[in-house]
Amino acid sequence: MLKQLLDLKGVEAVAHFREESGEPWQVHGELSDTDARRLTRLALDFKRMTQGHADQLALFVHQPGWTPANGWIVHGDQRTVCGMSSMVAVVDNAEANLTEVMKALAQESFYT
Amino acid sequence: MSDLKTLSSMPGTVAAFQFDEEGRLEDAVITDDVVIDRDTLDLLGHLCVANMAIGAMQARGWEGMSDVKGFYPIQGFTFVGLDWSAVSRGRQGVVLSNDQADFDAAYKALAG
Amino acid sequence: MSLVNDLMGQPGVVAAGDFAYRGDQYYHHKGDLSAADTRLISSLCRSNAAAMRMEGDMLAMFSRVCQPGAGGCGFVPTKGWVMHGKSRSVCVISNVYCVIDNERGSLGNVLGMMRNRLADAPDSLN
Repeated sequence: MLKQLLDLKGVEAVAHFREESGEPWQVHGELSDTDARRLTRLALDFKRMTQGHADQLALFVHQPGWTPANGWIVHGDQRTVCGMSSMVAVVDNAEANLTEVMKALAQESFYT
Repeated sequence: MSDLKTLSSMPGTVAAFQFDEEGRLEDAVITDDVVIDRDTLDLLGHLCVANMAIGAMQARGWEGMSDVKGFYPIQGFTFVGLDWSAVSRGRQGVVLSNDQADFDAAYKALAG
Repeated sequence: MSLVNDLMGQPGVVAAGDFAYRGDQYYHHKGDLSAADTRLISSLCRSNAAAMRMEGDMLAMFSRVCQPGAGGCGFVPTKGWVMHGKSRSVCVISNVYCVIDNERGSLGNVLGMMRNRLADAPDSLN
């Protein structure tokens, strides 16, 4: 259950979005409808951009293991956004353990 | 550096602007404040810096693995929108109407 | 693709082609790039198209002049980009790219032709 990610320390919001449009599929946490749409749209955009960069890196360095890109993290001053597959989470830097959050997102996306 | 006032006087130009190494707006001359404001120029400054960095990574990677040369170092970036474009070079840029834009002249003028 | 042929006829154009929005695919290519370089440039263009789309979305969301209530801003949807290199540049509109020699080519002519011919391209990344 995606909602259970909110039980992890420091996780403020989580969302699952549609791959084709970036529209929110499920959103949990303290986010307005507008902010949830902004978050998932930018998460889809960021995912596509990261995948493109990973594909290029693989071509440049001839090294396996970089693609397909699985996820991304944007580290902010006080908050961080983590993306994995079609899941995205907003976390509080002071509280959250990023490894724990990324693992939980990966697990959730595996079962979705 | 080019004079922002001179840059802003080119046909079809609605703004000329200058940003720091992070993309933050430092100075601007806006000739049509209906279509552009300082906050948007600040975002465009960040956009230009982000894309020049991406371009530098790509040019570096590409030229490192093939005989293709001539891109690195990246000197500028142009963003072509539906009706408006932003042409940047170094730490300066202009916003142009696509209908009246002379991309060559704008890019040359930005050389200072 | 006739646009690719027509771009190659422009002075200073070194290579031109197209790219798919998904996967490292391309369908048309002209110019003196190797197969590996052609694959690379199509991948590079796809990646930057995704980055530009994100940045266009950000402008649409966060810029006051881009709000529908302000009449829209004309930056979105994004149509393309130019990476100005030291002696060569890459120009992209929709899913067509063009590599030009800065000394011999005209950005204005190339972008004008591309914008004109691709004005109604769907530009869907899906």
